[in-house]
Amino acid sequence: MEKKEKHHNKVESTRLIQGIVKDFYESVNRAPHEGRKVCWCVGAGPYELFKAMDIGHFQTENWGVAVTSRKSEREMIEESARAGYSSDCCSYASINIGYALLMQKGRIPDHLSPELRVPKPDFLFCINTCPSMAQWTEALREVFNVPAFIMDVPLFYDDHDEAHYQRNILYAIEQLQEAVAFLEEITGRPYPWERLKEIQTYIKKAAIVRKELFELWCHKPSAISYWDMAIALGAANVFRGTPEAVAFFTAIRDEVADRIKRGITTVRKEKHRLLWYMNHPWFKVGHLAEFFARLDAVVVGGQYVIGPYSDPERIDPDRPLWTIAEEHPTRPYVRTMKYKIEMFMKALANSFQVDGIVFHAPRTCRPNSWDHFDAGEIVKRELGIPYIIIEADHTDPQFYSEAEVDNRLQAFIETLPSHHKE
Amino acid sequence: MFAAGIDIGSLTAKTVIVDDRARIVGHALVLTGAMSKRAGEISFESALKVAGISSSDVTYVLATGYGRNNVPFAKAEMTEITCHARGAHHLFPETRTIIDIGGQDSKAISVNERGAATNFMMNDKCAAGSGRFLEVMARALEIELDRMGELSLQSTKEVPISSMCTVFAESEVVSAVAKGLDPHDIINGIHHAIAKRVSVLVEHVGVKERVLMSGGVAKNVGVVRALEKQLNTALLIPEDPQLVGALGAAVIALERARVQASST
Repeated sequence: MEKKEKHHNKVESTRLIQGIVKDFYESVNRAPHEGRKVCWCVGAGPYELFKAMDIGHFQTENWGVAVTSRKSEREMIEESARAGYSSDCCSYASINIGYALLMQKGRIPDHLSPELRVPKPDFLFCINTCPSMAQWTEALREVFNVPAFIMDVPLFYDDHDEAHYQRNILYAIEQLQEAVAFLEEITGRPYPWERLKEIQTYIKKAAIVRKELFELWCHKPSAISYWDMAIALGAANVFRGTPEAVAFFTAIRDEVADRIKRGITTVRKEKHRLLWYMNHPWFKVGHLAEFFARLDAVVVGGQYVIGPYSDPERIDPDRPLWTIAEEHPTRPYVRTMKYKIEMFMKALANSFQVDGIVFHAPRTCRPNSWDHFDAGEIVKRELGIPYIIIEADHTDPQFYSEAEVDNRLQAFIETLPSHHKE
Repeated sequence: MFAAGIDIGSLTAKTVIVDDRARIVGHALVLTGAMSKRAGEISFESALKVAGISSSDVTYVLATGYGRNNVPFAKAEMTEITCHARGAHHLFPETRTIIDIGGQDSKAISVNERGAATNFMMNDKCAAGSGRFLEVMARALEIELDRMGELSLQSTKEVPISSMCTVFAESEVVSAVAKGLDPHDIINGIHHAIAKRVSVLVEHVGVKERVLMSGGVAKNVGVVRALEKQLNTALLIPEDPQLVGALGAAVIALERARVQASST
C-alpha cells in the first residue's frame, strides 16, 4: 500500500500566510513598547475599528488556532481546568483563559512561540456571537481588571421581514457608535474616520479578488480545496484590511487560475467531492487534507472558510459603520436554521457539486452543532445528498480520536457510490 | 485463483481465504493482542495451512478492521462497514440490515440488494454496548463470558441496568449482586441494556428485513433474543459471525483479483 507519497496537492501561495501571521502578532507584541493600547477581541469583531486607531489587537480564537496548530495548548487548557472551568467549555476559551491565568502567575509557557506570547490587554472587546463569549470576556476581566465593551449581536429570527432586518442593522450601528466613543475614551484621541475608510477600501479590494477566487474554487475537478481555503482564512478575518492581505489573495487567485488552465488538480483522480459544515479540528488540517486525498476525495467547500466580507457589494467605505453592521447578517450563527440549510448547505452543495456532506460536531461547541442531525436529514431528503456527523473539536485534541474519525469518514466515502444515480 | 480477507479488530484478527468461486477454503481467528501486525500475519498463515496452499497462491489480499493499515502484504484496505455488508450479502443475499457488535464498537449498517453499504451508525467513543462491555460484566459476576448467553435463558425477570457507562454499569452489577439478586436476572438485564442501546443505532438507519447479526456477540444467545424482542424481528445468525468482515474482504479481494487478471 502506498503511504509516503503526498496525495493532497496544496496551493503553494497559501504558505505566504505564515509571514502575515508572524508580522501581525509581532506588531501586537510591540504595541506596549510603542505606547499603543492592546485589545483582546473575543469573537469575530470589527477589527478595522481598532486597526484604524493603531491599537495592537488580535482575535482570541485566531490566536487559539495558532496555539493549537503549534501543539502548545495543553498547559493552558489544564490551567483553565485547575481554575474550575469544565472541559466542556469552548476550547478556544479554555486556551485563552488558561493563558491569562498563567500570565497572572508570571508563567508564560516556555514552549509557546515567541510571537504568540501576546501582552496583557488594556481593554477587552467582545462580540457575543455565541453564549460563551460574554462569559469568557467576564472571566478575562476578572483576571486583568480592565474595561470591556460587549457588543450584542442581533439575531435574525425572520428571514423575510425587511423591517426586522433594518432594525437589527440600526441596532448594530448604534452599538458601533458607542464602541467608537469607548475607543476615543480609551485612547484619548478622536476617531480617525479617514483611516477607517482606507482600511475598508483594502477590505473591498480583497473581497473583489476573493469573489473571483470563489468562482475558481467551485471548479470541477478541484484546483483548490477547503483545507487550502482554511489556511488562507485569517487574511479575510483578523489580518484583513491591508495591502498584504490583498496581495495574498491575488497570489492565490492567480495560482488557482493557472492550475485550472494547466489542468493541475487537488488530487490526481477526483472521485468524490464533499462539503464540510461548521469549523474543523485546526490541529488536524494537514492530516485530514491528506486523508481525504488518499481516498480520491476532496473536501471542496464549506461555509466556515468563506469567512467575513465575502461580498464586495456590501462594502461601502463611505458608510463604514453600516458596512460593519451589514457584514454580520452573512454569518450562520445569527441566522435561522432554515436560512442556514438553504444558504450554507443546499446552495453550497449545488455550487460545489458535492456527493456528500461532513458535519463537524465539536465537543466544546454545542451551540453551533445542536442542529446538525436535523439539518443533515433535511438536506438528504431534499437533495439526495448523504451526510455524516463526526464528533471532534476545533482546538482541543483530547476530543479527537484519529482511528474513530478516520474510520467513520472512510466508511462514509465507501458508501457514496451506492447513492449515485444510475 | 485464491483471495484473502484479513479483519484485524481490537480483540481478534481473522482471515478468510476464498477460491475462484468464492467458496471458503480456509479461515482462522487469533487474539489480536498488543501486536496487531503480527496477529494479522499469524491468522493469515493459519488460514493458509487450513486451505493447504501457500501465500504465493493468493492473488489478492484485502485488509479491514481497525488494524487494516498495519498489514504490509495487503494490496488494499477498506473499512469493516463495507466488508461486513459484502460478507453478509454473500452468506444471506436477503440481508438488508446488519447489526455488528464487536470488541470495541457496535454498529448498524444498511445494505442494498447488491451487498453495498448505503448507511451506517456506530456507537460513540465508549465501550458501552460492545463485546468489551460484556467482558467487564462477566468479570464482575465471576462467570465465563461464553456462558452468559445460556445462563440468561434461565432468568425469570430482568434486573434493569440503567447506566450505559461500562464502569458505572459494573458498579450497578456489583451492587445488584450484593443485594442478593439472581445472577441469571442480572445477566438478562445486561443483555437487554445492550439490546436497547444497539436498537437505537438500528432504528436510526432503519430496520429493514432481513436483519443479520455479525461479530462475536452474535454468539451470545441472550443478546440475540433481547435484540429480537427489541426489534420485533428474527435475526439471521451466520455460523461464524466473527468472520463476516473477513469474508466480505475476501470476496471484494476476489473481485479485484479478477479485474486485475482480465486487464493483464
